[in-house]
Amino acid sequence: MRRIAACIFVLILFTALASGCAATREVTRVDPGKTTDLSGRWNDTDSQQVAKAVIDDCLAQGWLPEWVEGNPGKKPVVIVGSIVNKSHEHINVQTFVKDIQSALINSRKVKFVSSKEERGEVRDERRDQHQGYTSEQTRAGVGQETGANFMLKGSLNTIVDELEGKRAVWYQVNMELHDLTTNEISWIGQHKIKKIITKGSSKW
Amino acid sequence: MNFSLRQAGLLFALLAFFMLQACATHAEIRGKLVTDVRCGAYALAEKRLAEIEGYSEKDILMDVLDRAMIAHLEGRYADSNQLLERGKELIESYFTKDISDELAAIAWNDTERAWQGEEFERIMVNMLAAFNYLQMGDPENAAVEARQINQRLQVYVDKLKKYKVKTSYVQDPFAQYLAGMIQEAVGDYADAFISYKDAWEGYEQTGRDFKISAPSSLRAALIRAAELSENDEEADRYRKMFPEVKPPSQKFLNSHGRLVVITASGGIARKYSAKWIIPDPELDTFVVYYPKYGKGVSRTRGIEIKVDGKNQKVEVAHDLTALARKTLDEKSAQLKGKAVAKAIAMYAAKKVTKNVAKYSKNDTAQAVSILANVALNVVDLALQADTRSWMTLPDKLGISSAYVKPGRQTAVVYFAGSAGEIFDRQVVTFDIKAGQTLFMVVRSREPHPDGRQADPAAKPLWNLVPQTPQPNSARPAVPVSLLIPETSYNSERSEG
Repeated sequence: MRRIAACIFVLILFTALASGCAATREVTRVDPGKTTDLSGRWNDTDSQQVAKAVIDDCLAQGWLPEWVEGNPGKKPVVIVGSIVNKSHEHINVQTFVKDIQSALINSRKVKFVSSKEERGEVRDERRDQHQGYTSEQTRAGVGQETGANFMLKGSLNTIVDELEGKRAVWYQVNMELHDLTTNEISWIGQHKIKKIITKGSSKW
Repeated sequence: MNFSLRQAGLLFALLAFFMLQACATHAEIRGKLVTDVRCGAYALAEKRLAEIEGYSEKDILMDVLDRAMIAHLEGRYADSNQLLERGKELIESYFTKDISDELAAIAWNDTERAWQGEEFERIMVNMLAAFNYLQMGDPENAAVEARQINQRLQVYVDKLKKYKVKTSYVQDPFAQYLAGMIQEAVGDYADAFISYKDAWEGYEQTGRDFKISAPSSLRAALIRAAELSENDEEADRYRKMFPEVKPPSQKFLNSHGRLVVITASGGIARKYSAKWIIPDPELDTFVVYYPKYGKGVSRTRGIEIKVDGKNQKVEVAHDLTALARKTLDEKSAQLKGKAVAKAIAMYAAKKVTKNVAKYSKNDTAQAVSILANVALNVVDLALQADTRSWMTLPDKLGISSAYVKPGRQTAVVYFAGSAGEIFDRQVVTFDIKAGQTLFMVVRSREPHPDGRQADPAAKPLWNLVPQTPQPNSARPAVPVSLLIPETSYNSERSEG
């Protein structure tokens, strides 16, 4: 009887240990709009929030009504130029550029044209349509591209202050709107995010 | 089934023997892996690493960094960076001390604590990542690593000041120099100037300790970055400080490209468990173990680059072995103190065990004796010093930069031994534009002790020019006129 009890005890102990060793992974689907701060680094929420804040500010400033007044019935055409990562983190600038493009298009206040890289692919396709395989009626016309009036350029910067497991990260996104005809800078805007990341000094 | 005490003792002895044997095999494989990396047998090194990877979860950072180094040497730069990011995450996570591991390390062995690397090794994580980005032709992301280097060193220096720690590793001049070069390449001239300035001060501060003086190119870089960042006062100050530097004219700079070659040679020194023996009449010896570095292993005594019809000498810019040895020696008093405290506790345990075995007069004496021997072996295992380190790092890093005419160019890097013999020769053909700066990282491949031929050296990915196959001949195709062994490359050579 005692031997059986000992065997059961060993079995329970083994099962408990084995289940402790087994790697478990849980996947939970969340709303893409939900803020998820895991590591403290720049994330999708930061990218979307900054893009919206910067574009809202840009479109609320005086350059837009001034331009519309000078060009009645038209919307200014904007292109996104280079946005340089000058931060301490490997940030995928392309996703930020996409968020900027999305905020610009959704505003309906400006027109938006493809970037330098995107244009190349579009032109290749147009060239291909004129190789004789595509019907004349459906071919995209050559020499009808819309030229941009303004170029949006910017940089993503960080200032980091750190001591003993506490880190303050200051993200600053600087954006400028350049008039392509005059080289004038029509608008300068920035948006800042400050994060405090605290690391525990011990765990069991 | 009934076991006799003697049988149980034998079984225990057998298990302990296998435990010790496994440790020895693991160390032996890692030793071979390090030789493979130094000798260019990267595929073999990767195979060996797969054999020992995951041996201990406390060594995971070491495994990740070794794998990242091998991926870098094989030219799989993106894979290498993915591993290095994992390494950075692990280093971050180790800030939070695991109390159970800490207690185990105090009571048993330091290897119970996850290996976190020394500060210079953690800086090398960023440097290797920067090398990978430069090899991929991505200076923007290399600049992120440069900023991380600046930040990490700032936090480190603040910590040294706060706790009044005295160490020779107060600054990493080569890391700062590299950061400056990358920042200059992406047009961050003000940041580049600060990094160059920190590098210069670092070389002055640490030069005596590590016998490395600032590379001559740093002087020109300081003047150039001060001018480019429109810091006239500083530009004047450095011009007066270095009257021998004749910066090239703007016309010359506008009509030439610049090739920066970073060389890595040999293998960094490895740690071993050094003994401090105190005689004891009853127990033969009373041993205290502490970690100590051996000597760096490198055949390289001179490196030369031939590009655009000119021979360029490579200057030693970073002596990782000297740095590792010096900083560990500075810590040795503290490490010895900890080792003595542990040794005293283990000494008492040893003595009790041995006396029990000696004075047991009944039938179980033989079994007790076997158990005592096993216990003594296990105690010795517990006393062994923590000898973990990033062993696939090179012995030294060197630097050379050359202005070259735009167009197609071929750079040949020669690694020479003590007799001036060329033991490795690496060729890269590339296209360069006027005003462009290209970076190239090259690691020496020494002859393998097994006579095995080295794997092909990894090429930069920005170099898209089809390569003409070049035999890895021991003889150079052209005489190397400048192969006068550099004094700073003449470090001791042994299989440490």
